[in-house]
Amino acid sequence: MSKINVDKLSEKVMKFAQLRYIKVIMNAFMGIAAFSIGSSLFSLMKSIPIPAYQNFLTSSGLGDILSIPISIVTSLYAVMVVISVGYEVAKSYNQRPLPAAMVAFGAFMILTPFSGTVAIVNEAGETVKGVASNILPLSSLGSQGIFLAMICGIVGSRVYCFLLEKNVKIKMPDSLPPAVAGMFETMLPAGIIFILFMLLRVGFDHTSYGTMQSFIYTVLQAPLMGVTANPIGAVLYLVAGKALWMFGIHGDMLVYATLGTIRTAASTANMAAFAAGTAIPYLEWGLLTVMSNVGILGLTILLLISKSKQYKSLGILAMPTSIFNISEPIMFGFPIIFNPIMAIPFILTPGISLLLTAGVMKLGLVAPILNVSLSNVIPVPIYLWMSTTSISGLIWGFVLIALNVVFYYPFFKIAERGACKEEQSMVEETA
Amino acid sequence: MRNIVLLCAQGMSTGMLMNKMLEVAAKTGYECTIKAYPVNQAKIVASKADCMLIGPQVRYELEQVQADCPNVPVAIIDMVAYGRLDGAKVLALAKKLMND
Repeated sequence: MSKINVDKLSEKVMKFAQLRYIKVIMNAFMGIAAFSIGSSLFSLMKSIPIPAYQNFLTSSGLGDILSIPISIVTSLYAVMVVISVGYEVAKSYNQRPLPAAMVAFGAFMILTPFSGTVAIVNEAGETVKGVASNILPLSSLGSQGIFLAMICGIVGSRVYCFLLEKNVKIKMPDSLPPAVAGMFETMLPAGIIFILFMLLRVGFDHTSYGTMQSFIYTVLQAPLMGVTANPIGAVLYLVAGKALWMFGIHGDMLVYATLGTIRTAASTANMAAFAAGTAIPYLEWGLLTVMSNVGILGLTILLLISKSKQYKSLGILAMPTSIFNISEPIMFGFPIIFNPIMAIPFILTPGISLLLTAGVMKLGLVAPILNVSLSNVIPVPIYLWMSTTSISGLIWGFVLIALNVVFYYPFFKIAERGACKEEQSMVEETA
Repeated sequence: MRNIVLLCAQGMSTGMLMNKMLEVAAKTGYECTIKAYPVNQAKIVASKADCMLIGPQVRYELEQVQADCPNVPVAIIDMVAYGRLDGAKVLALAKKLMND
């Protein structure tokens, strides 16, 4: 890698990170995080791996109560996406964000069916299935609606900003009080957008899909999820994030902004399964969070026991952050960035760890993870313990750390030899 | 009393650096508050800041932050100093920005 190439590549990566919609989506997901991180407190409380406590949660019904905030996140995620994206789009165009978010929300709801198939239990205790009107089917507002929500958030808010910029409004006579005139003026941009989306709704009524919700889900989301939300997709997701880190920028965040819609759809479906107490549908994607920085911890352990003085002191410094899955001190301090030798284990180990973990879970050696909404700063063995509610998760966590020490070892030795030589020559110089 | 703001992706890794800087500030008797925030909150927190430092992993945000907060001096933290959580060096950078 020549210096010039690295600089040029770096610059390209930076340009990409500065793109308007990359930032919009990044910020939108970070805004939603306020809600989803809040609800992760309750998935934490549901995941304390003590059998007696777990039995108590079930028998007392407390488990169901704790599931409420988690269910809201999973059932209404698309609503949060459309509001959040609509808000950030308008903000990036220097328009007032909240009205734009409301318009985008309106556009999304216009496309949402107001009826759906429901199962009810009648007085005789029989379950009857039928179509109910005057309801909002949660299935359209949760993980299945995320793609459409993203589209409505961007299109609705962008068109709204465009109409405001172009000054599309009803011209009122000057004699009218400004407040009254103002109301008529803002009626038009939002109204035009609603008409567009109403036309879409009516149009889809006449197709076999019935609604745009089901059209986008069937034609775009489901096939895209099929192609991407599989083990290979999950590994590539990690590889891409780590490769971008090599240029010294937050690669994981950038990949999240690009593929966040897919990841969110997968993890929302996983969370819904967790709240319902069933097996998660996207195992590998559920493992992304916990596998991301386990390699860094392996490397930190090697630093801690290194013969090189500077490595040892970095190991001592970084151990507390590495345990909690924060990688920056090692990324910049070791450094891993712009370091072609360390690039190999750094880019590959998270993906390898993920495949191994999914493998042992599928073979039944380790309990499969159930809960995917735990905080990313929980240390790996404890995360796996809680998310599997099984001691096998805890044990696998430690095995995985040990394996990562092994993965890094040969590459670390090369770097260490250089560092030791450097330290030696410095000692000789001063002597 | 100076208010120093650190910005990174989530305000987590700069949180560690913040503690190291506060230690140095206390030792040298330099009066300041230091707080870490996610970089997308720069505009909101700028009004109370005397200077803002951006973590190198989100250095692509510099232009945006400068545009959003024209009245606050902004700089990017040196990569090695950031990695080594070198509180003294980063505090020195902040002081230089504020001409202290």
